[in-house]
Amino acid sequence: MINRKVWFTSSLMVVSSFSMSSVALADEASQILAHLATKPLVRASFVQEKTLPSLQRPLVSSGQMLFDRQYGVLWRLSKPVQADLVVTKTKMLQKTARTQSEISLARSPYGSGATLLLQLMSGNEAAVKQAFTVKKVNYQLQHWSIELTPNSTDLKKLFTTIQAEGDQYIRQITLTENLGGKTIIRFTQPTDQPKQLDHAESTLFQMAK
Amino acid sequence: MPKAPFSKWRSSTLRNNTWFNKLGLFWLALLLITASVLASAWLQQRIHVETDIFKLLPKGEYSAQVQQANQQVSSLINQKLFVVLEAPTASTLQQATDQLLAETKQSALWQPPQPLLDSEALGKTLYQHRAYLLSQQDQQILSDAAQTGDYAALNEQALSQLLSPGVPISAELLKQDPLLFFPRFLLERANSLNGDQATLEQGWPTLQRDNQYYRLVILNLAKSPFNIDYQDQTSAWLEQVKQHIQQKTQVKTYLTGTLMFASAGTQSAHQEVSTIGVGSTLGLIFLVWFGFRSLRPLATEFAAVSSGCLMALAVTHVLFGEVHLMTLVFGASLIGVSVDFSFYYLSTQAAKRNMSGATVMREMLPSLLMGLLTTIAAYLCLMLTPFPGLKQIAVFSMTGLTAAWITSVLLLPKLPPLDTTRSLKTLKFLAKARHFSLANFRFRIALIVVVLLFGGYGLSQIKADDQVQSLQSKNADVVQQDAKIKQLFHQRQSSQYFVVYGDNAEQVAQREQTLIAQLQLLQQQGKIDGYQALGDWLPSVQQQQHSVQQQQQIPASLLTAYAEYTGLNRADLTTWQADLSQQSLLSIHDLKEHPLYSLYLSEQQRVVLLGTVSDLGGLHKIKVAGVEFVDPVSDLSGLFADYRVQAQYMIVAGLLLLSVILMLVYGWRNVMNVMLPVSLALLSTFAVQAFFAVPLNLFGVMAAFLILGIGVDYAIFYQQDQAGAASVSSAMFLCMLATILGFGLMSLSQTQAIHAFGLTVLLGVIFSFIYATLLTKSNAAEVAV
Repeated sequence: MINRKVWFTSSLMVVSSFSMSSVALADEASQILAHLATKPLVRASFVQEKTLPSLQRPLVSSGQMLFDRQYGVLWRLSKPVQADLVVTKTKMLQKTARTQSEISLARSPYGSGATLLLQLMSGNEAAVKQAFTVKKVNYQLQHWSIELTPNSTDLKKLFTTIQAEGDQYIRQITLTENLGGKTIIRFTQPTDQPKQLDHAESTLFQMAK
Repeated sequence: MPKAPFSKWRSSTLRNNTWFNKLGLFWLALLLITASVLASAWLQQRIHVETDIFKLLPKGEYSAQVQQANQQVSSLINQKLFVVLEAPTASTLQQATDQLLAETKQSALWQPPQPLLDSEALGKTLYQHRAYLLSQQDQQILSDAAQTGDYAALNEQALSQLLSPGVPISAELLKQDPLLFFPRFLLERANSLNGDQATLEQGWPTLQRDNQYYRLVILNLAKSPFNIDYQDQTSAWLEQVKQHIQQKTQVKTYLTGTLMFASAGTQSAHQEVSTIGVGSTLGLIFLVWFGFRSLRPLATEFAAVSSGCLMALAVTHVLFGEVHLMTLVFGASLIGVSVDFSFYYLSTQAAKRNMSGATVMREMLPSLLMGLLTTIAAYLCLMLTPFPGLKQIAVFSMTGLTAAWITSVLLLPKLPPLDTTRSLKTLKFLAKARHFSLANFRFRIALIVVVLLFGGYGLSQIKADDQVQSLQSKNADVVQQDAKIKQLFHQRQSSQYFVVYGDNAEQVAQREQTLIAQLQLLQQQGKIDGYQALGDWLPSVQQQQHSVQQQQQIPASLLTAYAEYTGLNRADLTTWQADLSQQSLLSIHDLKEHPLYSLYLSEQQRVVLLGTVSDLGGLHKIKVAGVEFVDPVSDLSGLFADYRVQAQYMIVAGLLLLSVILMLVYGWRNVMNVMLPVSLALLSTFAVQAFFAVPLNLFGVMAAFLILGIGVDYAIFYQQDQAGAASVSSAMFLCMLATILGFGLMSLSQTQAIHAFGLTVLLGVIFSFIYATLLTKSNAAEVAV
């Protein structure tokens, strides 16, 4: 209805028709969905700021993010340590120069936080629908934002709200954690080029398959 | 007991009808008293009919320890019913789960439902002892670092986890476990618990596929899945609950588990028994009409078999304290063999219609008695096998057959002779064949030589199959549901497992740890796809203490660097390291709610379960002190094989025993005359099966005892022939057909055990009849073989 021409290609996917959200909310969320996910691949730089009440200063980390619809999300952390985190639909693989650990997401409460981003970005409609309730949607030309609350008991223990905003691409995700912590991930220089995965990237995705 | 009055009767009664009548009255009174005692016991519910099929099987030949483990493990595996709910939406899935659980709670058929795992509570418990719990990877990193002095890997590991996007870390955790050892331990364990795609919701594995929501709920049976009553009750309950759920929530239900397979097996056996029963009853009616132009023999045989069952039930219950359902079913059929005595008598009586029934009976009594005794001798051999079920069946059949025999002997002479002219005419060819063979020495020799050659060759080709699995029949619907559930939830559990023993808990834990290391190796090689061990969650005390030491050895320089990277308070890290030893060791008592707690049998014993096994050899090669590999299914198959071999020897022993008895009674020259046909019949039966590649199994060999009893009877009746070849051969022919109708039809069964039994009896009685007809000379003619 509104802003039909909006070119949301960033793969934010939100549906919550069974929640208490009004029809309008659901409609707007659906609008966002309607334009979703035409880009099979997004690359961006990211900076993560994790604030914990007990820490004197926020934990800051940065690196490159790669989203590939077919495989999942790859976070390549370059500061303060070199580490790769691959999140696929079923697994999470954490790899440093010397260590490597693999986590099956299903059985781990920590998995739900990690897959959350994958679900948001890959447009796993059913999963998002099941996991979240839409609290607020703002959907305007060139800018959108959405606020979600988790439905599942597992996620509720971790997060109170999840906010996301963006334009053509997703620009920022804010996770408000249950125990007073807050994580903000900012994406800069988003692009859909190059469309091909390089050798290191595809190797990492293969490892987490 | 019947024997004492009986001998008196033999000596004097047949000339004296009053004695005969008195005995009849006495027997009738005995039957009535027994019947009323049984009836009152039944009303007071003191008759115990056992329905657990496993009670028929011998206990495995295990040590007491393995025996206990075996029971526990089989209850872990067999006592579970897996219910999968398939719902179109998450909310209907929840409604259906609630309803299922509510109905389960109200039913006495199930133990109270317990979620698979309360991961939150478990996490909290383990957290109290976190200093003692390190993931294997961290143990490795720390021990490498302790050797090289380079702790960079640990730093990377902790930082990458702390900084990974989307992985929430609470401030509290960061303070108490700054290097995040505990989350890594928990993650590694969670991985080992199950690598599938289901998440736990309220403790139940739940997943979503193709727009459907699935949840696995595990119900624990209140009784044995092999208990036939329980199978009936649960089937009805499950059907009802399935319908309730479908009506209210549109949610579909799928079921699997040992209970479903066992129920399906019982049901198909039930169906077959009733189909076969109807078939054989109809067949018998035609047979009796054909043979005697009257349905009276049906009534007298019914009286004989019922009185037999009555006495058998009473004696068996007194001796065993219970009667098994299978004993009733099998035993009643075995008592049906008494029809042979009736047919033989009725034919003879018809041939000598000018004599009184009592006189005919007096003449026939010695051979009838021998017939009874030889059959009992054959069943006696059955009793010497170690199968508890077969012992009971043997006692039941021996008592029942004796009682049925007495009833027939007392009852039949009171009734007028029947008309056998029609059947005699039709079956005249039998007597002709018999004449031809008995008059033709060369033919007989040729026949014997051919049978011996053929049989000898056949026996050399025979193959045995004692696999327990191949004895089961599989219901397609049950198999389908099972496949669907396995495909969705990867519920895999092998029936093989390990038992770990030790003198004390710590020794057991250490041995288990050694075993686990080897199992992990096999897992990496793809020889097993997983295992379940308590030791994964509860390391040995030694290991726990080592873990604390490893963390205490982390150098201050690393902690300082880590504090700088993260902005953590350096003092917090010092406190953390100093306080490590303040926590208490994790003990078995902390894990009572753990799903693997059931693997803990005692301080001295634990069990390690296995997932799907693709290479048994690897498991057999594991040699750890105090660790024993148990493979109950193949052990049971081995036991079946042992018993089959034993039973084969018992058959030979039975042949010898009968030969000795017959020699004492008829003299050594007549032994061949009576024993040769049945021996050749047994030989031919197994040779024919070998030719058709029917594998030999225990049940087939058991059937041979029945053939032995029946086959000798045929020969005795021919030998003691009182009424001429035509009469006896047609009587024996009718006997053979009756046995085929009773047992031979079992060869149509889908259940392998019943099929094997039936097929052997079918072939065996046919051969016994043919050989006895052609080879056994009547005493009337001079015997010389």
